[in-house]
Amino acid sequence: MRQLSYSEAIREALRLEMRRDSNVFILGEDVGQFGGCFGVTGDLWKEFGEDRVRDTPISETAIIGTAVGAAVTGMRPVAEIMFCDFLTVCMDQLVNQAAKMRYMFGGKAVVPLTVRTPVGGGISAAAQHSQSLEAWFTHVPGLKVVMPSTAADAKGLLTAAIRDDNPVMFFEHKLLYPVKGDVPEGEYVIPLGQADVKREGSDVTVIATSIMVNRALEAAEALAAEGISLEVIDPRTLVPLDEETILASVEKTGRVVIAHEAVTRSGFGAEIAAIIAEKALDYLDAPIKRVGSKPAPIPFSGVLEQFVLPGSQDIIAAVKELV
Amino acid sequence: MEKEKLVDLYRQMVRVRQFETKVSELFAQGKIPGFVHLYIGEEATAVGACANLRPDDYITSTHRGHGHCLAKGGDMKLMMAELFGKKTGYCKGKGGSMHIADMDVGILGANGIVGGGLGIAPGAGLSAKLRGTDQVTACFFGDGASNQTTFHEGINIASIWRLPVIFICENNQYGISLHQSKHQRVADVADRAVAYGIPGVVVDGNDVMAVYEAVGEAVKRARAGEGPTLIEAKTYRWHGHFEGDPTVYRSEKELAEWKERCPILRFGKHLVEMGVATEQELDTIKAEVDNEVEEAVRFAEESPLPVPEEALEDIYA
Amino acid sequence: MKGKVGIIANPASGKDIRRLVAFGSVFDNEEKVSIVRRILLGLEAADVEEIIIMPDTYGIGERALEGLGKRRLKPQVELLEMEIGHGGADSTLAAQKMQAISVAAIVVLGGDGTCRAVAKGCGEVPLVPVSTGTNNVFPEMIEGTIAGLAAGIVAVTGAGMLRRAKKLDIYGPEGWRDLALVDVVVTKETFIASRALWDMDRIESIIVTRGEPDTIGLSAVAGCLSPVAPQEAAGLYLELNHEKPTVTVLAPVAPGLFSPVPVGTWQRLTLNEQIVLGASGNPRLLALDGEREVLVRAGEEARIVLSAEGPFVVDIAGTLRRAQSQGFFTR
Repeated sequence: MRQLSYSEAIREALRLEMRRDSNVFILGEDVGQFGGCFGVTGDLWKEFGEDRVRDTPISETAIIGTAVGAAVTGMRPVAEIMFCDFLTVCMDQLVNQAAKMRYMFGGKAVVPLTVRTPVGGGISAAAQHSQSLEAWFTHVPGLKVVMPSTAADAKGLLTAAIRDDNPVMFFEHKLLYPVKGDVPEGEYVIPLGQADVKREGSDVTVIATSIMVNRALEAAEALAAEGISLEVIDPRTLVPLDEETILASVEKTGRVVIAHEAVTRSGFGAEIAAIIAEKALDYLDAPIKRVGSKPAPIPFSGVLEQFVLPGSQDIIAAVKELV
Repeated sequence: MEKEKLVDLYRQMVRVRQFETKVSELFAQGKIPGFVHLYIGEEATAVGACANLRPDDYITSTHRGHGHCLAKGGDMKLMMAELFGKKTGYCKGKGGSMHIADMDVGILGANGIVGGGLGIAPGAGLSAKLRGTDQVTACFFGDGASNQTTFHEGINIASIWRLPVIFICENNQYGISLHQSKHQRVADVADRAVAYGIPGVVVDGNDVMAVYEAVGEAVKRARAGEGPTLIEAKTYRWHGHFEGDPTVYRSEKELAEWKERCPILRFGKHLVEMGVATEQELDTIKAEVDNEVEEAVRFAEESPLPVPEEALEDIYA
Repeated sequence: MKGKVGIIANPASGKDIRRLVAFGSVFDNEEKVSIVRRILLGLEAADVEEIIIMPDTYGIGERALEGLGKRRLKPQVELLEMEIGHGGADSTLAAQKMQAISVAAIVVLGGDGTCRAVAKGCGEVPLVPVSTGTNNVFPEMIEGTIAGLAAGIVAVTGAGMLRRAKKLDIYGPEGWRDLALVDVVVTKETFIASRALWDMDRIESIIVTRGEPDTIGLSAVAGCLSPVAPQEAAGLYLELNHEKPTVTVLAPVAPGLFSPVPVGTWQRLTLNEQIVLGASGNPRLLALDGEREVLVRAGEEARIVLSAEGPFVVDIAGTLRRAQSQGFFTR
């Protein structure tokens, strides 16, 4: 199959959706001629012009506010927030406005809004450009939260997110942007709320999100040599969450490691662990283990940063405590 | 302006006044729960502004939104039922006073966040522009909101993209309990228009015709693609920030002075003086509106409460 | 040190709807503060003893002083004791009070509207009008420093060059109602509303004390047709004829706004000549110096009389020249 990088796959989804539906447009900082801070929107500006690939001032609140206003009046905006850390600047428009409008208005509004934003560390961008804040948004009824780990998933899920009539937070990992993978050509939609078993196995279930899926697959490869078989599950969307696939795997292996790059404490892993504890305690043969960032802001210096961020060795260590 | 329209401006102001007066009573009787922020005293601003709008134009409103909603064509019965928390209300009892919306007549919602609508209004403007319509958006907000991020970011983005938005600052002198002189160094919010390269004007917000004229010109500009305008309407809320507010921060004398400038009395008197309407006609309007309000209360009282499980509906489309 | 000077700055001038219907500039209050500050320094340079400033809702006077930092002004500066918050009436009241305490001159910041309000209260105290409004025929575009200096010289030397402006007095059935310094425009409008006047179709007639081709506002119609100088003992009365104009005048009726004005007849007025607005079945609104102001009810009559007894105005250039020739600036 044809290979595309994660960012090319995202761009392809944007391009196809913009061709398909004239109400879809992009807005964000430096998304136009500049092509986006991480180059994701690239040359879309050339095809669709500056009206539909719209450069905004550095005003995150206005970006989301404008997107919300456009969404409730018939448009289908895709907003880019340059770093997920900057979502803190526009929380009101996301959490109090976008997420709740439909509900507050008794179901009479639709808010078809997608917010794309990169998460993650690993590039010495320090504490205000490296966080993974997805869990915050899973806490807010009214929002959907998507976190793809592969190029193909990115394309299929973004297409679904844009077509969704709800506000969808779409978290991309910076380090995944150049990573290539097989991507289907033409229209490709992955329904929101479907987990994917990235590797089948029998001894331990690793539920991983975003870049930690890659780390889990590396761990699985390494542990396979030692005779330990990992099943790697990528929920892909955190809200809505495909509990069925997760619980089925837990039933099969009886052992669970949950891995995400966000800080472990109150990360989405805590939610998954709670669901398993509530619904699948009887299947468990060992305690649930969580892998995530240590409880520190993401530091600048490479040695410090690598110490704080989780890696495949942390998954391996967690697995070894269970078997 | 023809007689019919003038008399309608009067009627709309009376509708807001009587609705709010009734809400105040019902709140005191414990029939309306939660918080209510009443628009009494500011009627001329919403009515004068909305008289320039078509049903397909948009407004964003505020926590003090009943007046905007009625003036833009909202249904009084559905509003009252919502205030009662009934299933038949605008939001099926899920929103209440601060979240009344009606997509069919362009009301993009009251808002519980001060300045919230200032973020959203430019989006409605952009949407109209991208869809190639000549719809405009009127964005209501208070003097307090003019210190929020959304004011600066929203007006800025509307100005660079020349969006068809009319920013209407209802300067009622107080941000909750804090007098304007203590919350900003300028006395005229309209002065801030200069910072965004758009026109800013001050009008008497208690004079329905003054508001009508100024917003009318701004609407013309917006429809012609000439971009946003900031209009500051100087007005005053007679009641507290919310019902039950002891209003320790202002004097009786100040309130009395503003009551003398009552937008409805003033306009009614002028209509009679000018021979546009008789006292009798105005009294008839008041009686008709009284009936309309009573009808709305009856509808609300007789409506069923929502079923508890409905709380889990309408979260996602 | 000698003499007292008053300052009246209108915080509301330069913000009305003419920023929308015409291209009037926005005059923010900080700019007025800055002008008042320079006026104070001009007054100090002239060695004025006392300065009295009208208080206002924005605090223009206080802020002007605040901005001087640690620099203490030599003249004694005080805010007039009065109640504020009533718009143009504040300026009239302040002028009355300043007249009562015998100021030698009043510096006025505003447009024609503000000057009119002051003229209603200043009696024979000469004015130094500084333009910060919209339709500015009466006040001069003059640097505040110079305006302050000229007012100061009037107060200190008692030898200012003055001229007396004309005015138009408006009388109703109950006697005197109001005055205008530049023009009275009779309109078919029925609401004072946003006060400004921009729709020529609604205008019936124009009466001016003055009007020259280089003026702005409705008096420019006179100026472009049959000019009347400020010092001439005459006025002009024009009746518009929208159906069959004798002549169409292209005039700058508001900042940046040129309208063809269809004029039927026009006649010069002599001093004390009156124009009678006969009772009509419809109400009319008179706009005074560019602002809708006086309502003439249906069936009511009004008279407009040209008078030579308007406020005294300081001839700034003349006053400074005379002061120079008398050695005022040299020690």
